[in-house]
Parts: sequence; structure tokens; C-alpha cells
Amino acid sequence: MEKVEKKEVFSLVVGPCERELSSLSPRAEEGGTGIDLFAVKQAVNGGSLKVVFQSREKERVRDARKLLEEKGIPAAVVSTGEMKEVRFLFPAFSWKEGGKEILFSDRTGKNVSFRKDEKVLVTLTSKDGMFVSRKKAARLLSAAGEEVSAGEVLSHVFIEGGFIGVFSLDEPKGIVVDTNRFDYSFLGEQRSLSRNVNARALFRKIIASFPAPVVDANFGPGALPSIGDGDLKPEKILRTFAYYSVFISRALRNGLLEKSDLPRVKTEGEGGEFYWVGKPGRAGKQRVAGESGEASSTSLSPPPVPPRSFRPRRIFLGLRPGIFDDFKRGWGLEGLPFILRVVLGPLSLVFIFLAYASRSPVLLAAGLASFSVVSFALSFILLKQKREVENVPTAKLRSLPMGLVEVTGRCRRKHFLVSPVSSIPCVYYSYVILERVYRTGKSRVVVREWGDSGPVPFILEDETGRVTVDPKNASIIGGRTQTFSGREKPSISPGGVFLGENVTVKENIIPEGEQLYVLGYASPARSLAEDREKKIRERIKNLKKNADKLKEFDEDGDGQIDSFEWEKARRAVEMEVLLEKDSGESEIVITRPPEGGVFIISDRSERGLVRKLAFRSALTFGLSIASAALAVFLITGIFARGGGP
Amino acid sequence: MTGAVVIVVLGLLILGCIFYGVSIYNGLVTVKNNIDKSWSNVEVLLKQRHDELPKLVKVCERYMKHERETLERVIRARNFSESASTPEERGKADGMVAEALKSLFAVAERYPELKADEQFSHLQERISRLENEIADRRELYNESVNIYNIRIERIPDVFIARAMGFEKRPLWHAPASDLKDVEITFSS
Repeated sequence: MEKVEKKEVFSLVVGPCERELSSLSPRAEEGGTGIDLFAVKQAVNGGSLKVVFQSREKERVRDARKLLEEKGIPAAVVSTGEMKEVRFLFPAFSWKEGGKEILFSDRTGKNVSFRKDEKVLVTLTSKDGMFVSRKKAARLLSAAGEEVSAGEVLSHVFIEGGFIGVFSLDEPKGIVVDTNRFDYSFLGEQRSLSRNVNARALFRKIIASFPAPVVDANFGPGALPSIGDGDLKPEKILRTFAYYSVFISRALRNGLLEKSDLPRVKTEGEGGEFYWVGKPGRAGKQRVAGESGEASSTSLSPPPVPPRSFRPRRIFLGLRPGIFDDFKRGWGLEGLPFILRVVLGPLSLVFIFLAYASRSPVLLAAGLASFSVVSFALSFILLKQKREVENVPTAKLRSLPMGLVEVTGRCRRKHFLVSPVSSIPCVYYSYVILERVYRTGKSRVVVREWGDSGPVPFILEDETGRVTVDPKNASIIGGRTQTFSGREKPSISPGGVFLGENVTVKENIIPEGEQLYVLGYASPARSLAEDREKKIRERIKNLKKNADKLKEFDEDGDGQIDSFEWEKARRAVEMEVLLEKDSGESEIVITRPPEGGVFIISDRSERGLVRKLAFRSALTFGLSIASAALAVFLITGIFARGGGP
Repeated sequence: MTGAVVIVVLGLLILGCIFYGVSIYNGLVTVKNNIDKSWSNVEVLLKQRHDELPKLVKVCERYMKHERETLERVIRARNFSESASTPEERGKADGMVAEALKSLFAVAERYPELKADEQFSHLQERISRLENEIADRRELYNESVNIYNIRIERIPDVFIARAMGFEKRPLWHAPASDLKDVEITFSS
């Protein structure tokens, strides 16, 4: 009996909440719970139901739920024992509507009925277990708090041969529809040749038949901690989808439906009023910032790259691994020759580490010598950066020449990005979560997680114009650093991040509107040749469809276009495009120079940046000399003592 | 033991000085070439403006039957800039084109039909934008020259600049006609 209980896993699920979390104050009696801080932030400020904590200890999960609920965060517990329904998966084939109930039948004639006043969860996924809607629907839904009609939203739902699940929130029952294998005869004259149109009509019918059903389109890799990419293979997808649907219906049944502030989509004509769980189109690795509550007030597109985050298990010499990334980004390590950056640099640290562990002066000398070479090279890379900053004149954005340019201006977001901890609209962020751990009377700080926004393009504008900056492989110098700490009391950051006991989060951001300095390579976002190529492809496509136009090239008049005539037609199209004058101006983007080189983004003034780079260059040069001297001192000492190592 | 350390430290310092000297020389070469690049960037825009002038004159001819003198001035200035070979001549020609265009746009105010012409307004807008961009690029050119002139006179760069024969470069100056006071009279 005890063994069975041990196997059961309890999951703590949190739901969306409109409460202003920054107004919450920490209380002394609340203890650390081990909850994943960023998962709480994601789910609370986003629109989805999300698992933030799992444990086999029921008490622990219950305490964590209490703690979150006291903070005003809606939370519920779902256990694996409650998931038995998945074994009785019902594949529905047809639909029948009666006076008081809806009847779903399978191919053998078995039925599952739902009362029309029943509370239900409707889940959606496409055939590959990913997105069910177009981008526009996601935007519409992100404004769900405003006047958005159900019809408008539904017109953008795109199921494309996927699955629809209907699960009762009152009783343990549910059905799954494979939209490719469903009898749509109930649609009568509205029935279409397109399966997607039929599936959408079925979906509309379902949500119009129940009072305010809950609609969830978040299924995908990572939608639950147990769902990985491998579960989305065709043979597994239906069962995984059913598992997800049952899990969410359980979470809603266990209190989240009442407690959460799920966005309600208003009805207009046909369709029906319903709740949305999160935003459709989201699945798998989701963006922390994109899920902030601010999403509802913006029309910016989501960033083209996912945020990066790492959870190091071991700490090297007390250094957090992120420090190397900071180095790479802020200290110009990108400019180092490959052999120094990839071989000698890490090797020097390995030597120093081994020397530390074995107390060997030989290894220490080797480490110092290789470190000296790397820092010597780095000092000149930094000197080169300093000289470039000094040498390149500042251009105005209106008349930006192509090539290496230096520009200044205020940054504006091109994509939706909000810092995860402080919830400030920004163009770049990085963070590190540190925790003080006590063991055998001693304490030390360990890194729980670190990450950044990744290279998200942004806009720079001055009084004359604007330009796009793609910060991929840029040295980002500066930024505002803020520290949020739970210390001895848990608390919640302005961005809704749960700060457990002894947890400190350091966040570095470049907020929107900041005056930035950028030194990089300006070039058109798309080349003229690419544009022409695209035009030619499009015209040839149109030509193939246009029989009258094709006749013009039918020289022998046999009603067929042979390969010779086709070649002539293709050349005529090419010529037509080449002779056209290019209209419009292509967008200019500042990137790292194609052959490598200096690419700096900083919130400092040019003068401040020059001083900083000069200091760093001098420092690394000094370190290089000092470490070389120490290495020689150690080596000569070894030889003087024993005549050899 | 100490001797070896001193030798290594001195060796590194000497190596550092050599690299530093090389980086100064390379920097000077870069800033010198930046000047030429900046001037070429100005010329790119001048060429674009140059290409727009015949189109502008063609549109104006349809409406400004009695303004041959103004239109011919634009064409003359364009032809002069085409034949200019030295930077001084190019600067003068550029001034002439700018002056002729100013007169043309001022006279165009008297022709409402011309002003209403879509092609004319498009060309006027494009040329005005090019004028602004040309002004910006000249500023950029002057900044490039300024950076170079400062660097070749600053210590320690001055030693290498003198040894390698780097010479001062002139800044771009507006033509004297552009600096004259504008006479404004108000009709009573």
C-alpha cells in the first residue's frame, strides 16, 4: 500500500491571475518551498495553466499551494492517481444534438453523452501536436480582455487535420475527435470540401452548445513536464493529447476554474462565449517575457528567437558558468582567434583548476602561462575595439552609409520583450538566480539558473530616422543591473517572480527608450538580387496559371509549350524583371560585420565607452604580464629546487 | 630566478610596445581611408540627385513655358558638374546645382498646376530628401577628416604619423555664396 502512495506524483498547477502582484508583501512565517520561480512567473502572468512544482510528498505540495494562494495566486493540485480516465479514451466519430444533451458516437455505435448545461473543457491541437491557430488569432486573443468577438477569433483557428477533445468538468468522462475521420453529415448544406472548414464548424458547434466552455490550445512539447518532443510522434500523439486534456480538466475541476482569471471571449452571433486557457499558438518552449500581462496592451510580434536559460549542476571554482558568456558578450572574446578562444583559454582554466585540486606548481605555471597568452591577445582586441570607437564618425540614421557605422539613438522594441523579473519593457535582458545553500554549518552561494533574452532585433531611432539592429554576436557593454532578493523571507518581484528563501535574482536589462551607442555593419536587410529572384519566381508561377499569356510563347501553335518555348518564356520574365526600376527602399539593418570584427552595443556615451575599453585593455595587459611573471617565477623555482619538474 | 622574471616581463613589454605601434599605424591607415570612403558616400548621393534632374526638368517643361532661363540654369549646372574633375570644381558645381534647384522650386510656387502634378511633387520630395542626406554625409565627411587630423597631431600617434608621412586633410566648406546674408523684404 505504501509503495503505491510513493509512486504517486503530485503536481501543483497555477492559473492566470489579474491581481497586481507587485503590491503583495512578504510574510515572516512563510518558508521556502522549492518552487520553480520562473514557472510561477510564466503561468501567473501568462494565460495558461501550468505545472510549477512536482513532488511525491503530498504535504509539501499542499504547503506550496497554500503559500501561493495566500499570495493571491490561483493554484490546484493534481495527482497521477486522478489520471485513470486516460485508459478509457473514447474516439468519437459522429455528433448528434438532442433537446437536453449532446451525443458523441464511435464507429461501433457506443455513445458518450454530455448534458447541455455541463461544464466542459475543449482542447485543440493540429496533426503534429503543435499550433492550432494563425498568428493573427494569437494577437486577437492576447487582447481577450477587450472587445474581441468569438466569431472573429474562431475565423482564425486553423485545426488542419488535428484533434479536438471534449472533457467534462463535472464527471470523469471525455471524447477525442480526429478531425480527419469524422462524420460531418450533421453540417448539412454547410458542409465543405475542406476538412479544416468542417473541423472549425464542429468546433464552433461544440462551444456554442455548452455554457461558457473552457478552450485550451496550449498542447505541444513541454505543455506538461512529462510531455517531450518524442510524445508528438503520430503513434503517441492521441494518447498524449488525451492525457494532457484530462490533466487540465482535473486542474480546473480541483478549483482552478473558480479561482483563475481566465480571459473570457465575448460572443457575437454564432459561436458562443467561452474562456481561453492561455493563447493559442503557444506550445513548447515559451518565452518568459512574451507571457507577461503586458501582452494584452501591445501589438508587437513575439521575438524570432527563444530566450536562453541554463541550469548548471556544478560550479567550477565557485564561478558561475554564465560568467564566460558575459565575458564573451561584454569583453570581446568573440574577436579572439579560434585557437585562443576555444583551446588555450579553456585549457588555462583547466590547468588552474587541476593545480588548485592537486597543489601542483607545474600545472599552475602552465595555466598561468596560457592565461598570459590569452589575456595578452585580449588586451589588443580591446585596444582595437577602443580605436574603432574613436575612429568611426557618428552617422545620422537618415543618411546612414553602408558598411561600418557608428550611430546613437534611443532604442525601441521591434518584438515583444519584457524583463522576466522586473517586468520592464526592454530590448535585452539577462538574469542569474543565486541561492545561498547551507551545508554542515557552512554556507555558499550556488547558481540555480541563468539566461538571457537571446539576440532579439530592436529599433534604434534618432531625430532623423530609424534603423533595425540585430544584436547577434554583439558585445553588449553596460545595461542596468537590478537585484531582487527573498533573503530570509520569500517575496514576489514586480514581474511576479516568486523569490524563495535565500534566493537572489540579479537582472541586467537595456530598457526601451534608453540612449544607446551602436558600432556595427549597416547593410540592406535583403539584397537586391534576392528581391529580383523572388519576383521572378512569383511571375513564373503566375505565368504557369495564365493560359492566355502562355499562348504568346506557343511559337509552333500546337497548343503545347515545349521545353524550348518554356525556356524562352522564362527568359522573357527574367528580362522583364531586370528592366524594371526598383521601387521602394529596402530596410537597413545593423549587424556584426560579415567578416567578423567589432560590433558593440552599449548604453554608455562614446567617451565613457572609450574609457571603459581603455581600462579593460590596460587591465588585461597588466594581468598578462603579471601571470607571465608568476609562471616564470614558479618554473625557475621548480628547476632551482629539484632540477626539473 | 629574478633575472629570468625580469627578462620575460621586459620581453612582454617590448612585444606590447611593438604591437601598440603597429595598432597605431593601422588605426591611422583606417582613419585616412575613412575620409575617402566618406567622400565617396557623398558622391553616391550627388550622383543620385544628378540622375533625377533631367526628369525634373522634363516635368517642369510641360507647365513652365515661360521659364526657360530657370530650367536652362539647372541643365547648365548639371552639365558643369558632369565635367568637373577636381574636388574644388565638384564642390563649385554642386553649389551651382543647389542654387539652380532653389530658384526652380521658388518659381514653381507660381504654377499651381505644376505643384498639383504628382510626378513633380514626388521628384521635389525625393530631391529635397537627397539634399538633406547630402548635408548629413558632408557632416560625416568633416567628422572623418577631423578625427584623422586630431589623431595625426596627438601623442603618441604624432610620432608614427610624421615618420610615415601622414598629412593634414582639408575640411569641406560651403561655397561663399551660401554664406551670404539673405535679404528679406516685406511688402507693405
